[in-house]
Amino acid sequence: MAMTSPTSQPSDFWHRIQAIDRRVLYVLLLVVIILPLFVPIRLPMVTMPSTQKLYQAIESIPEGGFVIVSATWSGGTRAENMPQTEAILRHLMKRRLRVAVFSFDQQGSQFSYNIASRLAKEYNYEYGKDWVHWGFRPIVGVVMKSLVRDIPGTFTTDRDGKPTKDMEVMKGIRDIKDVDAIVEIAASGIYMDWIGLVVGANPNLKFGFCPTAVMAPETYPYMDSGQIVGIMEGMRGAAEYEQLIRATGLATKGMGSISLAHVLIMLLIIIGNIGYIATRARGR
Amino acid sequence: MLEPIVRFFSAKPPAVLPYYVAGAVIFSILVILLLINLPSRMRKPLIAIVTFLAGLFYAAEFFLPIDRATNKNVLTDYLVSASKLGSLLGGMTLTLGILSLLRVHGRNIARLRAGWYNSLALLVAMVSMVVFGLMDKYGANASAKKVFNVLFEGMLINMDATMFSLIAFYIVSASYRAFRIRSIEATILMVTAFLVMLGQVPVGNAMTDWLPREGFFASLRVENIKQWILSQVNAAALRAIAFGLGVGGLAISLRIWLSLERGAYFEKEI
Repeated sequence: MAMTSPTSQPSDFWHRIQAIDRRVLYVLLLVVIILPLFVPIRLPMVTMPSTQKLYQAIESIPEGGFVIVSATWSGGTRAENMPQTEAILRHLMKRRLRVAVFSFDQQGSQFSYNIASRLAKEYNYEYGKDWVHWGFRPIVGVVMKSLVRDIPGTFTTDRDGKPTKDMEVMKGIRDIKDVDAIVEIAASGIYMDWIGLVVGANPNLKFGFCPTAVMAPETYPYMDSGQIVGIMEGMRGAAEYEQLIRATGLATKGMGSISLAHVLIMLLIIIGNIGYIATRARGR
Repeated sequence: MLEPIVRFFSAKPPAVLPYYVAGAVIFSILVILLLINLPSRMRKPLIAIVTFLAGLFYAAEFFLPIDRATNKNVLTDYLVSASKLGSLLGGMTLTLGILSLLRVHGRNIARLRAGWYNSLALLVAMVSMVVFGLMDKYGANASAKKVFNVLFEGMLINMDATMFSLIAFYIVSASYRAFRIRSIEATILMVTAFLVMLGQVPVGNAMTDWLPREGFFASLRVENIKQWILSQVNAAALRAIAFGLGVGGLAISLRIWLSLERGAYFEKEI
């Protein structure tokens, strides 16, 4: 097996384990990602407080409450954001809450519409009465500033251009004070805009955030401050949420792949460092 | 005072809509021509005035006291119109971007420069998306809808996912080659990274699953160590960074709003 790159000119075993051919690494990664999808691995999973808090915040909304779900993500982060969107919408529909979905991303608009339409059939949600899709909305700051004061004026039409003001789902919704919760599913720092422009305008508003795993660490200070009620961290968070709502989905199935990929990365770093330490020790 | 503007931007009946669209296009072209032909010495003051007025509207709307009964101040009702104006400006910048792309890549194709076929692919993809997207939105042609679905859901979304997925492979290769414990700091970083990574996945949970879930020893479970690192150590550092960024952002915003900013772009001749 080709274990060395042609340019590194390895002299012995310790050098060689520091320079495994990148193609070997790619194949290994591919195998550890694909294998668990066919041979599921059952592992214990503990629900993190951040996920639990988001779940409880949604649970605390009275039946018929109004929740806005913003799906600002695209195909690039589908693996993480799609299970998150599905888990949140499933929970909202299970709880018979009124749902308004929209997106600041064109792809996210299409994705979220597809997911919500599918789940609406499953939970007998009628479009216009129980849920609505406001479509793609460009220019984040302007839309947020505007929706704080006038929701029907900001979202005058749905994604198909139909007027929203007479829809039953919008009944009694005038401004941000009539909204019980906002859940943002995103692969960006858009939560800062929500916190800065919207969250403070309604002290009772629950703002949940579902970022990709790599984004999650930077959001912790805002959960501590209470500005974010709970965080669903990447695919792991979605898998925990699926456990909480008792609906095994994409995230739970993907946890085996994520686990093995993490282990592979750690093993490779350890191997590389063993080689590095041994080489350095010999050089002294 | 602003009422006529609000009425002008309100929804129009379908019968008169084409006239409004045509009027808007002609007006936009005239404005762009006017701006292009404006003497150089007048451009910067114009930009400064428009920037200041736009910023002033939002600042005044935010700071002016509201009437308790209506929950509004004198500018609140114009926020929606301002949001529409913002969308219009976004649309105009998009047009400029498209024109720029057409010019640059059109030249590449016309002069058969190296890699001209990439430019051709870009323009064909762009035009196809626009044409079939509009046909899907406004037409009743089932074939156009199918083609658009293939382009958008079948190709664009999957290519986006593919591009992003490639990062995983590069991360594996880069972390294996670059992550060496050359110092105490690097060692602390690696141990912390390992604990967070293990705490993030079920296989890490399984490693310390034999420890009790409650009581003192529960804090040694890897997911709890990870939680402590993220919510205490990491959060404290991030708060400091966010505070610095906030103060810096405020200063920069003020400088841009008042056209005081200097530097490469702002001092450029326009």
